Amino acid sequence: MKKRTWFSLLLVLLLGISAITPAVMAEDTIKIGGIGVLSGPYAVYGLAVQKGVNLYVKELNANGGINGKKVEVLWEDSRAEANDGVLAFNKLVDNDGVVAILGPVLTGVTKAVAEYAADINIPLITPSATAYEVTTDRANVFRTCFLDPFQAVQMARYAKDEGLSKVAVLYDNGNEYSKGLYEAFLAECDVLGLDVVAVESAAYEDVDFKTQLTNVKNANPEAIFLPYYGAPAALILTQANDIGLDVRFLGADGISDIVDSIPNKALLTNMTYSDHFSTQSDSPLVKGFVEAFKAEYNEEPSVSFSATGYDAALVLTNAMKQGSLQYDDVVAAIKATDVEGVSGKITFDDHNDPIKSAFIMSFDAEGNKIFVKLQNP
Amino acid sequence: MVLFLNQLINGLHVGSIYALIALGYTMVYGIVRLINFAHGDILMIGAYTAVVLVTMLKLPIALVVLLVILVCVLFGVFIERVAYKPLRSSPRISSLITAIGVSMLLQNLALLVFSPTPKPFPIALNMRPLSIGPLQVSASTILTIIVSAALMVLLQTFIAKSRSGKAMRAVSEDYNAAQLMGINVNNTITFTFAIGCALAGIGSLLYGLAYSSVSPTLGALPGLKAFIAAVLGGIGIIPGAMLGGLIMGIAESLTKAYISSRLSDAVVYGILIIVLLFKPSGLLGRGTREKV
Repeated sequence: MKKRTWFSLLLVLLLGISAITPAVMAEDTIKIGGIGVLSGPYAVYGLAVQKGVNLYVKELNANGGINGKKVEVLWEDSRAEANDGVLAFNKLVDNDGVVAILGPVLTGVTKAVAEYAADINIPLITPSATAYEVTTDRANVFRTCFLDPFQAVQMARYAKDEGLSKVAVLYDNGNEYSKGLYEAFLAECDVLGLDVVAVESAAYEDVDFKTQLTNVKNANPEAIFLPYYGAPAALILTQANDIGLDVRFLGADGISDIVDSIPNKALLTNMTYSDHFSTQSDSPLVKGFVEAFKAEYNEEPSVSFSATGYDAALVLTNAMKQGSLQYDDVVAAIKATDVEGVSGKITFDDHNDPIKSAFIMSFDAEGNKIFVKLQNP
Repeated sequence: MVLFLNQLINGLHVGSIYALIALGYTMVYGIVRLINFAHGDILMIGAYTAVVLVTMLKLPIALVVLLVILVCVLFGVFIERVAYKPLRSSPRISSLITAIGVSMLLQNLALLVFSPTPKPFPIALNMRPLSIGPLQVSASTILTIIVSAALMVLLQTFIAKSRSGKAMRAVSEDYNAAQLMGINVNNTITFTFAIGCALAGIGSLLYGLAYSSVSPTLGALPGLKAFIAAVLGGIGIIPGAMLGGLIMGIAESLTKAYISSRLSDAVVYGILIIVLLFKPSGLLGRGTREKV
């Protein structure tokens, strides 16, 4: 019995020491927590954000960091699960002692994590959660992307401007992002007088859309709105072609990564979607970003969340440069942000959303993105 | 009417793929009473093999088809020898857990080697949909239905007529008695795995043609659906697997088309529950009586 008591005491002591040491060693670096989906089918978004954030932090550290202190971003994988996101958040805040959070990436995970972040008022900036409610009543939660209702409305207006009158919708009823876009799109069609001739939905992780597309084809629309991520959207385009459904497709920012998933790139010429960023901008800031990104990763920042991730890191570290690292001070400094980012000028409104424009994009027959026009709020 | 026929064909397409995979489940279950959960992942291995062979090695399609089947067979036989054979005399639950383990191993291995980003399937038929009267049917749908139907007939004849088929039936009926009659039980079991995996290999190509995207978890959902198809038709019975697969595909498609896509899985699983309530051994299953 006695032996066991001594053993436990020793164990507690050892654990205690290991818990204390990192805090002592980390004096001269500022730790920021990064949460994103880094594995699984949605990893392409998380990895894009990670690359953007890491690139900015690297540039920042090369230029002296924040008031002489280096910045370090500790990444945790949310695996696209709300639970894992919250676990990652707790680990970063409780064990690693980070002073702010960048991410999470997906809307569902961000909603869950933001709830916990709001309790302790730690500054959090998501580069990519586009659902409206994410920042509602949470003074400490910000984002550097535009919103779902905004982009859905812009796509409906674009359809109207293009002279389309009969549209259909196919959405994923197991995904909050997809449902939010679908509802906003439908509401705006009502306002604009666009005729929605068919609404079809598919279950989460479905791969066969031929049934729904056959129904859509039967309703004979001029365009189909697809609030989907790139990989399933590629399946839908391919299967639509298989059943001889030759219409235009409209999408939102999830389409950003479609190119790698689709075998027949020519099908992409029918697709138009709204994006956060275009590499074809003339602004020297964007050109510099694209050059630096290519030099660092040997690829184009083709998924636009690299740009919003870069901007999220920019906004956060700018706020930290004001001096204090206290949660409340950083939150107040973020709120007062007025900077030029690579995805546009960033200022926050009452709801902590940036006031930005949407880039309407399309593709050529080789799958290269083409900038169509800018839709302003 | 045209819409209904179109949806029926869509259902047949999905159902044929389920049936092909279900055959692998049912054959293995019939012979060693093991639900081989790794079977769906053989599908994934086949699809990635095609990706590697076509995009990296740029081999001609006919050779790719043969090599994909060969790789699937080798994987299947290797898994059987390494993971299942040593457990043949252990309780059935041990092999079942091992099968789940092998499935996870394969998925995570693919995650490591090929990254989670889906890769486009490199083979495409690039044909306009064919018009049959007022119907428009894609080339891959027609190919899938014809190939699956032919393979099922071939398999059924093989098992009914050939010597190896006879040995498979004998081992499935009574393992020990078959051994006493001079049948090489080990080889017969390996052979069964090989056939099941060859079918999965062909299935992976048809799946790739239809859904054009390959990811490490590709096999999980069709694997599960095919397993249910096998149970629905009566696990261990080959025509049952085909029937189960086709019923599932058609039920899914018609539910999505006329009721709601939200309910398609509920309807399919509902059918399974009702069938099992009235006929616990599946649609074509024979009731087994307890031997005293």
